[in-house]
Formats: sequence, structure tokens, C-alpha cells
Amino acid sequence: MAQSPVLQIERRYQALEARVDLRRRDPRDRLVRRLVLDDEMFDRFAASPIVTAAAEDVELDHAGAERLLAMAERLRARVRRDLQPVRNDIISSTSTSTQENTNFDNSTSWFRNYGGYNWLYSKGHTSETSTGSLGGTSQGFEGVPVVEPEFRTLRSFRARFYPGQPLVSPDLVEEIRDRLKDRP
Amino acid sequence: MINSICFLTTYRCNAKCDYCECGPKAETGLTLAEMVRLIDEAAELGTVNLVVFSGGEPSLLRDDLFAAIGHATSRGMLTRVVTNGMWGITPKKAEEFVDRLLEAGLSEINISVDDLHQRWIPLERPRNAFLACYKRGVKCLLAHKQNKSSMITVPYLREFFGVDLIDYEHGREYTEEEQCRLISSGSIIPVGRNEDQADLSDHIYGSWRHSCGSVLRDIIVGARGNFLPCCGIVTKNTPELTREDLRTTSLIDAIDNANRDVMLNWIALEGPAAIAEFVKEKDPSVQFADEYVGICHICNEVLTRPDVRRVIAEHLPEITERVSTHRAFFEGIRGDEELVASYLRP
Repeated sequence: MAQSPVLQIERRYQALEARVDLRRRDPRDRLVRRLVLDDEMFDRFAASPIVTAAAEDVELDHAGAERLLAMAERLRARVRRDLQPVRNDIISSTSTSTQENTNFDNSTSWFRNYGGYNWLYSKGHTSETSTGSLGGTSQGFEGVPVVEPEFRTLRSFRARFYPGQPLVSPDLVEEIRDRLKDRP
Repeated sequence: MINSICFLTTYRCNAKCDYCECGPKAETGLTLAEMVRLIDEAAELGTVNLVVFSGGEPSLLRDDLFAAIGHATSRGMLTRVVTNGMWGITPKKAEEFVDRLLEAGLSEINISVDDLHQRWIPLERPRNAFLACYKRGVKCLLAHKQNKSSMITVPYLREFFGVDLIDYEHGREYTEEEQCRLISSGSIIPVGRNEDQADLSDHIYGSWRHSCGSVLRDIIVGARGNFLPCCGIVTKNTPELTREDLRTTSLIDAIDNANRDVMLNWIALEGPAAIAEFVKEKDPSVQFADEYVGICHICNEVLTRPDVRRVIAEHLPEITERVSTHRAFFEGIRGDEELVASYLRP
């Protein structure tokens, strides 16, 4: 059977081809990182973007400054939004109690101190009321089996924070390519 | 991280459902040799542990399906078949088919059952198929879609199948027995055949403003050897979803290329609603609906409307910088445990 022209149908659409450089090392990216993670830096940049950027070896015109500020605001909003559920898992840093509950809807929860933080884990049907007596819920992580809270935290952080990317990193792509080279 | 690979083994199907691109006249799909090669390539990635055989209707592949399942099993991977259950002509025939799947090594099965499919396939067939699986303790999930006016609802199926079906919830743990009677119900997304005739007032609306959790995570191999780096609901004819021909490109190269594609990254990082916002800002004459049924609904519109693509094309350098900066931020914080710790302090 003749092969189908898989790509032929693309001609109906205007091309939108461009690439992200996953290896780039741009001072602008370092600046963005600081704008997202450093409140004081963000305030300074918002007040005087061109001067603040210049101090970080980034040259910006007015339009570029506006775009960078908008990007920083988007990322800051995402950081707040995506990490809130993770923060909600942290009940307090004082208690050392450990307990396991069977809730009214037959779901279960555990609550324990680990690494200075207290953690609540619920599985099965959870709701605010079913776990309210413990002061919090495990929003967003229902039913994910967890061995250690730290592992869970990092895993959740990466899953939420990390863009949809098929492979762990460009380095892993190279590693796989190298491995394939050795195959017959 | 890619954990699974899905083959749309053929676009041929005995059904011709609305909002689908498959049908009886579609060409024959992937060959066994092509599937075997791609299973081997997927195994070499070191992260894939599940191979899904979907379509079209994969049972139309007959012996090639069993052989492909057998090959994936021999590579140590789990396997799933997504079928419309057309082979459940009688209880006996259904059991024979399930036995062949199990002999090949099948791990689990999904059976589509809803108003759309049952316009073409008698409901008795997926029922026979399901009951044959249930009888043999095969992990089985009924894949159900509905609109407000759908006749085949979950309660209806519970009664018709005579089994206490369990609503599937992502992430929830189920016993072995429960895994044999799961049902997942979602809204029908008006994308595909006859989408222009959809009565949108009948659709059940969900969230659509978020970034896409499927693009660049779900890996699908289309029946023409095309590489689909998303869940596959959006039309398979858009350039972004058909850039690579896996008959001539290796899987790892296709994945790597998709991973660097600006449009795919934009969808993954910000989502199609953000793209629509960008387009509206640049050209207020481009209008969008107030609401969409789901993220795939608006994504399909963003990727297929010529006026939207024109605006994107006109601003591609700006978009590339925006997406690259966004991506660089996430690349920079990857695995930064100090950063994680600082954000988790109460």
C-alpha cells in the first residue's frame, strides 16, 4: 500500500513554525527568575524597569520592558496559584502528633509530623467537612500514594510547576540518543 | 515524562460517530511492522510502561492486534485496548475474543459506550464485551461521554449491564475487583465530524481557561504514522499535530522536535485561552465565543481558524520570545530544591 501523505494536509493552514532554544543562557532569563521569586526586585523593576534591567546587564526598550513585566506578572500569578495547594498541605510547624482517621465517608486520612512540618494526607472521598477537624485538606492530591511527604512535595511541585514536557530534560534526550547509538 | 504511547492503529471504524474523524471508509492504518518498530523505540526511551491500542476500531486489525499486544508484553510493557465492543456479537463470541486478547498478554481494556457510538452499534455488543471481561476479571473501564440530552447515562448503563459500575476518579485507588467495573463519564467535545452542526446549548461545559496538561505529555501515533503530541481530540489535521511522520522520523527525534515547538510549548505553558487573549489584544476584530465546552474545544478553534493563525503568524517572533522566556523560567527552577523549600515554608 502506498504511504499516505501525512504532511500534505498542512498546506491548508498558514505555517506557524518556530523553535524554543532549550539551551539558551540569556541574562534576560536570569532577570525574569529574580522578578518572579524576589518581591523587592519585582517592585523595583515595576517602578523603574529600564534602569533596573540595565543594572542586571539587560538592555530593554519601553515595549520590551512592558512585555517583561507582563511575563513576570504571569509567572508570579502562576507560582501563587500552583503552589497554594502545596502550601495547604502544611498545617503547622509546631505539633508532633500522628493520627489516622476514618472519615464519615469511609475515606482515610493520616496526619503526622515530618521534617518540622505537619502533613495531612487523605485518600478516598475527601471533603472539607470530612477532614475539617484536622484543620486542612490535601487539596489537589487526592489519592496519590505517597511514601514520604518530601518526595510527594517535590513530585507535586514539579508536576504542577513544570510545563508539559515529554522528557525530563534536554539532557535526557541526549542521553537516550547516546544509548540508542550503542544499539545494533 | 512519557509513561505511555498510544497507537491510533487505524482510522477505520464500523461506526461513524459525530465528533470523530474515523469511519468505515478510512484507509487501513499502521502495519504490524510499524507498530513493532515504534514499540521497540518507545521501550528504549526507558520511561514508557504502557502501550495503548486505539483507533478507529483496533479489533479490525485482527491478528495484527494480537501480535502487537504480544510484542509489547514481551518487552515488559502493560497494554490496553480501547474498543467500541463491536466484537461482542454474542456472549460466546465476546468471551472468545477476550480470551485471545488475554492470551496475547492484554493488561486492561477500555470500552466506549454512549449515545454517539450506540447510534451505530447495538448496546448489547459493548454489554457482551464488558461482561466477558468482567467474568474473566479483566481490568475494564467503560469510557462514556454525554450531553445534557443523552439517553445512555451512567445509571442507565448500571441497569442495562446489571453491574454496579463504579465512577472512576483520577488518582483514587481501587481494589482488583473494582478495577473490573469502572466507568469514566465526561462531556462530549464538539470537535470533529459534524462539529459545525453541534447544538452547543446541549453540551455540558467544563473548564477551558487553563494550560493544557496533555500536550507534550501524551504521545499518540496516528494511523498514518503521524505523531500527535497531545490527547488527540483536536483535529489531527493541524500542522502542529502532524509535523512528524514516524515512518521516516525516529520517535525520539519527533519527541525532541515537539518539545522545542513554540506553539506546542505555548499551549502547554499558557493554554489556548491565553493564546486567544493574545490574538484579541493584537487584533480586536478577531472574536471568540464567551464559553467553550472544554480546553480541546477552544484549542481546536485556535489552531484551525485562519484569522487566528494569521495574527499568530504576524507576531511569531514576539511569541517565540514570550514562550522561550516562560520555558526558560521553568527549566531554570527544575529540581531546585532550595527554591521548593523556600516556597513551602509556612
